[in-house]
Amino acid sequence: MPTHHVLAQEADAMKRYAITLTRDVHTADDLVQDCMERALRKWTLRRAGVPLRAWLFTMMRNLHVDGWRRAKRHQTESLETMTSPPAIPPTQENHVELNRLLARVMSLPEDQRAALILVSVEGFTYREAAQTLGVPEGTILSRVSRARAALREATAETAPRLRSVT
Amino acid sequence: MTSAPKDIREEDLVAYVDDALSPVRRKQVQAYLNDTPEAALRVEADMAIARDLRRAFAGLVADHPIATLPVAERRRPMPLAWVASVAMALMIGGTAGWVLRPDTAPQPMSGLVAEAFAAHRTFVVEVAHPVEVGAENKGHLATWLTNRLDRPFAIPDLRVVGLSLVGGRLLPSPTEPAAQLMYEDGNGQRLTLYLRRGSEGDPSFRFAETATAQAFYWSDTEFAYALTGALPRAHLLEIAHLLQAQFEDTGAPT
Repeated sequence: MPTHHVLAQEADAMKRYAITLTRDVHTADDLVQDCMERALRKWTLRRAGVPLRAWLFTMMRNLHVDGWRRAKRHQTESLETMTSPPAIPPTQENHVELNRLLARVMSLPEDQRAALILVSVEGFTYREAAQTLGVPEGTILSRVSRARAALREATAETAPRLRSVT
Repeated sequence: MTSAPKDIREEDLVAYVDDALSPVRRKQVQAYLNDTPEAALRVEADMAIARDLRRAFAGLVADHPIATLPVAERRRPMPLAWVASVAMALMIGGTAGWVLRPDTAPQPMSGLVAEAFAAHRTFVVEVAHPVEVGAENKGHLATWLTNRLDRPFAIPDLRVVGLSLVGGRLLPSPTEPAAQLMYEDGNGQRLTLYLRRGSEGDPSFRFAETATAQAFYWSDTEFAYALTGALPRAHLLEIAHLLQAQFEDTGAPT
């Protein structure tokens, strides 16, 4: 199958991961575009046995880290300066709750956020997530654990706390 | 009632949510959750969060479908796969700073495009021997052309736009050896791609036509290309974009 067609099928996943990394919809679009372009240039260098999505995500994270280093020299990035934080449209069911969850996810440390999204949203195995982020599997597990604990706590604050029967 | 194992740890509860446990371990964790309501509530909450995350992230891309990426104005509807692949080719071309709008004003016919028309006319009408090496020997064709054109050469794949490879041949040209690849659609309509070394260094698409065929031609750093066929101009141009992107992709000499 032609490269472009194969890549086009990954566009949504790339966008999701770009939002996870950048926390900004417009910056995410730029990152996806940069990554597509780079993927086409490097296509023939792909090693057999590396899943396409993992390969793309690794490349995207490298691009993101490079860009972030560049940007950091000039300005400090903070949630307050974000121009277009990710949010789902009000036409979608439960958009208030889901947007609240998104905001919480975006306030997690990047390491935890990336591990959680790879595993929970993209369905990566711990092993695939570990390869993509370049850390041991145990690290992925503990990042997911901490991310979930933080989200659980935040969710519990807005919902009536359920006390377990003792 | 089963007695809950005592050695259930944090990572078991995390992996349970992600369905990453072995069947044996999963059973043990289930037994533990049955006996430990607090842990069961926590796992339930984690699963709800994972489900909501998937819904939220699906919502983030739902209003940006791939087919709405910038595509040149088109006059007729096209299959989604075709739109997506062309959108991608155009998008990538755009970021590379290439000229996307072809110059469609009549131009004096360059050597390349005249050669391409001549080769096209000669071989598309052939029934018995349209090509020298057929699509069934695609690997051999690629190796042969790589050697004779002295460049890495991957045969472009145009199946996404409904064109299958017929095959290719080597041809003499006034300068270096040239190659012709032939493609065919479901109705037997044939297109040829002619290429040879000798670049004018102009990546923009230029248009030329004869009474029976039309061509778009362009160059990269070392090679010049001409796509010739009797297709509507817009369709031909879109295939040319696809070809240009594939050559960029699969290692045109840089």
